[in-house]
Order: sequence, then structure tokens, then C-alpha cells
Amino acid sequence: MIPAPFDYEVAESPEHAVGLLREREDAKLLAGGHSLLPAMRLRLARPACLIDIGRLSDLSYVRDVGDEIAIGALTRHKDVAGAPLLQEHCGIVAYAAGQVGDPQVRHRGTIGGSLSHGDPASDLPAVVLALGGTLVARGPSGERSIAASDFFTGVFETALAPDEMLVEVRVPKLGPASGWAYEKLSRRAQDWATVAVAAVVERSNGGASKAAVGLTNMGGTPLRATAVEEAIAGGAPIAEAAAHAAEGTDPPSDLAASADFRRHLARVLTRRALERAVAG
Amino acid sequence: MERARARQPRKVVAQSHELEAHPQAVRVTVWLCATRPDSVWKLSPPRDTLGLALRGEEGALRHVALTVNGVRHELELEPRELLAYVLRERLGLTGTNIGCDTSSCGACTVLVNGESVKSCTMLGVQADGLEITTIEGLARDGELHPVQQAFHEHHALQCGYCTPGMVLAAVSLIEAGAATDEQAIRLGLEGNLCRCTGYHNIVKAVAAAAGVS
Repeated sequence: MIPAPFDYEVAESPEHAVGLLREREDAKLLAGGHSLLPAMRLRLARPACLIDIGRLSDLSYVRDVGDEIAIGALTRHKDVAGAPLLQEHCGIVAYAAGQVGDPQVRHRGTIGGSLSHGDPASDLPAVVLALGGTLVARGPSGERSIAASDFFTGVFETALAPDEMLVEVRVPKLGPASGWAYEKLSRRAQDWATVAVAAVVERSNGGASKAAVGLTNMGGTPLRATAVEEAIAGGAPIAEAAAHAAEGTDPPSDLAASADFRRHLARVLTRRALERAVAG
Repeated sequence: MERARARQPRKVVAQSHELEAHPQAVRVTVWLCATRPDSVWKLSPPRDTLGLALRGEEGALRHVALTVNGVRHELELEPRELLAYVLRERLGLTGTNIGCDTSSCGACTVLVNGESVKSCTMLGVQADGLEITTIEGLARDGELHPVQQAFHEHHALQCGYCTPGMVLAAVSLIEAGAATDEQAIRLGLEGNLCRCTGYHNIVKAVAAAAGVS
């Protein structure tokens, strides 16, 4: 399967990429290409022009910026998974990046590409959402920050304007009382999550006093399990809180699972994720 | 039904625009390349069989310099040419197998700057300036690479179709220091599918090559 013909431009800087996005009709950014190229090969996507940002090595970094860790949009999953700063201060991001696809995918795919693709079945969107992360976009008039809760707007849709490019992802440093877990279930090795749950908790007295829970593949966007979070904040034990995990979700039915089974999985995986997060 | 079909004129080779329209045509073309190369040569110059046979319209060509197995190649590539096809069709390195053609099976795995990559999901133009290693580039001076040797010794293949990709994925895994035990090897090879032997002997071979038990 060979993609339909397209023009190909190599961006020399983020500004250049944004300029090309404005100039060229029906253009798409190409980073690692591990979501876009398969879609183009199946002719599900037929952009007229690809702007290759894969050589913008200045956008591949993991930096300590005070209370947060800043991750360059073109940092590959492999490098996110192996970043000591993330492993120390926000381990869930490193761990989840290591769960994306398989090693070959992680050698090419990037965190920025994964987030801007807006696939609700991808691992990193729910994690960044649960963390209350921030996404930094560059457009023609400069940069703006978008809260993760405002970023994912629909299936394969984000708050990025057509002439904007994601340049950085910021996630908070987790304190010593924090715990986290990412519980993913998929039918086959290397597959997308049937359902996955990201949990970040504040631990106290052997339980959780506060929790943020992100759900992968339980609707058109990654979702926060707000009913679970409220139950934990109200002092409910984990098993009781996790029973609310499917509330307000709209999971798909497909070959991997029915919507009902996904709701069941959300409850079970949320309980496991919270338990594991509390156990630290 | 049979009669109706019999009245249809038979075409051995479809027109290029028809090939473009039908994904199944890719398989037909691959089959033609394998079994009836003459019919494909007529459609296109010999060095560009699959590419041109499928082309209705061409994008602008780009000059690309690749180093493959230590040899520098300068090529004029259409942007949509995938690395797997560049290696096979342009450079004749047919050890890179194309299996699923949808970045699932790993048969087309090559090393890009030393790291495993599925070459069916990377454009040739993205590889400009990079170093590629294919299965043809592993053996040195007639000596098999240690991973190849281990596959041989542990009977880690049957039909052999997944083997080039499996070997290169294993080389990358070992080089990254990630082949630390059996479980890590199994996880590390999750991007490569084998449909005949199963994985036990493959895992044994990789463990042996990595020096872990």
C-alpha cells in the first residue's frame, strides 16, 4: 500500500513549519509518522503536502523547569521512557511512553505527534490529562499554552488551529506523597489499549486522599473519571470509588470489545490502578 | 454466472489508474513482480517496478543520500516511496521482507542509525542522511553476525519470512542493553510476529546471543 502523491517540505525551524502550514493548502506535519503514514497508506488521509518536522532536533528534550518537567514535542517515546528526570519526578509519563506500540514504534514515534493526533486509544493523552498537563502550541503570532483538559476535542481532533504546531508538553513534578499507576489492557501485544487507566494519587494513611484518573479509549477523547475522583476526595474506599469509573463515558464497541465490556474494564482497571498507585 | 464471467475480457495487467484505485492491486503487482517480471517490466523501467506501476501521477522527485550497509547511495525519490520499497525495489536488497505492510508484523524491520524501525512506515525521504542496516549488512567477511549464528544454532526459524526483521529487532534490543532476561526479550520482540515456529527458539537464540540465560 502506497500513499497518494503529496508534496514534501522539510521544516528548518518551528517558525518555518508554521509558515509552511499557513502557505500550503491541505498540509500536515510529519514527525515520527507512526500514526499519519499508516493512515495515508490506507488512504484514510490524503494530505496534499507533508511538512517534515522530524529533523527539528531542538524540540527533542526533557528539562527541569521548576515545578514542572518540560518535554519537547519531538521527543521520541523511547527517549521519554528513558528520561531520568521523568523517571524521578513524573514516572507515569515515562512508564506510559514505554507502553506505546512496540520498540520499533517507540524509536520513531514522538510525544507531540501522539498528543496532536488526538487518538482516544493512545496512551499518552489520558496520562497528560490526569496529570493536568499543559500543551504549548506555536502559531503565526507566537506561543500559547493550552490546558490538557481543553486540548482534546474529539476523535482525532484537538484544540490546535490549522496553522499551529505543538512544541512542548509540560507535566507537574509529583511530590513524595504521590503515587501513580497506568493499567492497560489490550488483546494483543503491541496493540492499542482496549481500555487503560492512568491514576495519580495523594497517599495518606495507607489510602488515597485525592486522586486524578484518566481513561483511555472510553469515549471520543481521553476522559477524566470525575465521579471516581470525587468519591476519593469524599473519603470513599478505593473499591467503592472505582465502581463509578464508567460514569459519564461513551465507549466504542468494536472488534476488540463491546461498550459494556469496556465499562466493566474501566471499573476493574481503575480499582487496580488506584490500588497500585497507593501501594507506590 | 460462469458464462457472464467468461464473457469478460481477461486482462493480465491492469492500467495504472486502476491499480491506484484498488488496494488489492498491490498484491497483484507483487505477485506479478514475483512470477511474471516481464509483464511488469513493460509498464516501467526495471529499477522501479512497483513504484511506477502504481503511479497515476508523480510528485516532485527529491534527491536523497542514504548509507545502506556502509555504502552511500544517491537517489531521486518520490516522497511517497516507503523505505521498505526503496531498499527492495531501488537497491535490490530483498532481504527486507514486507509482511503485513501495515506496521504490525515487523518483517520489514531494519536498523536506522542502529535502532530498529519498521521500514514500511518510514518514507525514503525521511531517511535522507541516515545510516541503514539491512539483513544483508550484518554478516562480516563471511562470518554470520552473532545473532544470526544464534538463530542458526537454536533453530530459531522455520519458513524464515519473519527472520530478517526478527534478527534486526534482536540486534537493536541487545545493543540497547534491553535483552536482560527472557521476559524482557519477549517484550522487546513484541513488534515482530512469527507465524510458524512460535517464539520459544527465537527467544532462546536471542538470550544466547545476549549472553543471558
